[in-house]
Amino acid sequence: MQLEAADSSDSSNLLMILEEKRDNFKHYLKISGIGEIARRYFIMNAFDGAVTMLGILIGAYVGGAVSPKIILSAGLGAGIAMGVSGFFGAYLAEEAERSRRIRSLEKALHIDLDDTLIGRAATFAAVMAALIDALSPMLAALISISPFILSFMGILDPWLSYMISIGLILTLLLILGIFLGKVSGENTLYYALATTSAGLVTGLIGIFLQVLFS
Amino acid sequence: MSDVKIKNLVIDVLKPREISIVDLSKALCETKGSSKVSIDVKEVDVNTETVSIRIEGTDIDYEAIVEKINDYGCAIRSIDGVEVYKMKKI
Repeated sequence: MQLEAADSSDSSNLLMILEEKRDNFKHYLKISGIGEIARRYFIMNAFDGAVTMLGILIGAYVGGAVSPKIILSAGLGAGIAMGVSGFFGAYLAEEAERSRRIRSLEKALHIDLDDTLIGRAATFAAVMAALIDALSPMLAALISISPFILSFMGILDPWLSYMISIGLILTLLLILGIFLGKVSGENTLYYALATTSAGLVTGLIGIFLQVLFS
Repeated sequence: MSDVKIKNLVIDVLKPREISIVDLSKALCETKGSSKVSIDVKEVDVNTETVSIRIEGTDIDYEAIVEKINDYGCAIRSIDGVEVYKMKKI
């Protein structure tokens, strides 16, 4: 009986802590205005990740090395590099911008804001921006080269993987364009065509390179 | 322990514009002994707003109010009004 009472008190405490965390999360989101920035970072970096993978695929084709092992290692290496660079770049940039804002507010208020909702929201925003900046290109890169994992395991033909990868990248660019169109509330087709064109331009440059090298 | 309780409190506060008066008033109303909070914006600046906060209750916890206002990144400029009463012992 006593054990049951202790269990229920533990779970209600846990529930209260979770509710407090959720409330803090909502407050930080609202105060920092990170929602809009996060969306921008996500689109920009997922776009970067997809186009970089297209570049690697085209480079491999021009260099005559459509080997799953090479493409996977180059793709994963580039994905990790984009993730690490995104994390540190976004964290430092956001932290610098928000520190400047906080210092200017401190001057107006004549108080220290570091251990307040405003200060904690600024740290939260910098970490969120960094995580999104790191994970979005890595995710886009991973989706783009995922068929080569099957090729590496001997399930799929490398050339088929190559074609599926290019198809996946163009689809990813198209989805990002549609998402941008939805965000703008304007012409979805215009954004979809613009993002897909970036992929097609990369492809054309690849063909030009191949002609140049042969 | 003192049996004099705070019933009404009027505070002049300078707050960052990021902080919504709706969130601030709700947070202050959640403190022990407070039952009603109203906030009026008196002055608007580029980064800050001067607001007048009126708190009503049966036993307002002044320290908790100050702590909450500070936690929201606001600066107390002055206490503009206070109303206290003594509990009658039966």
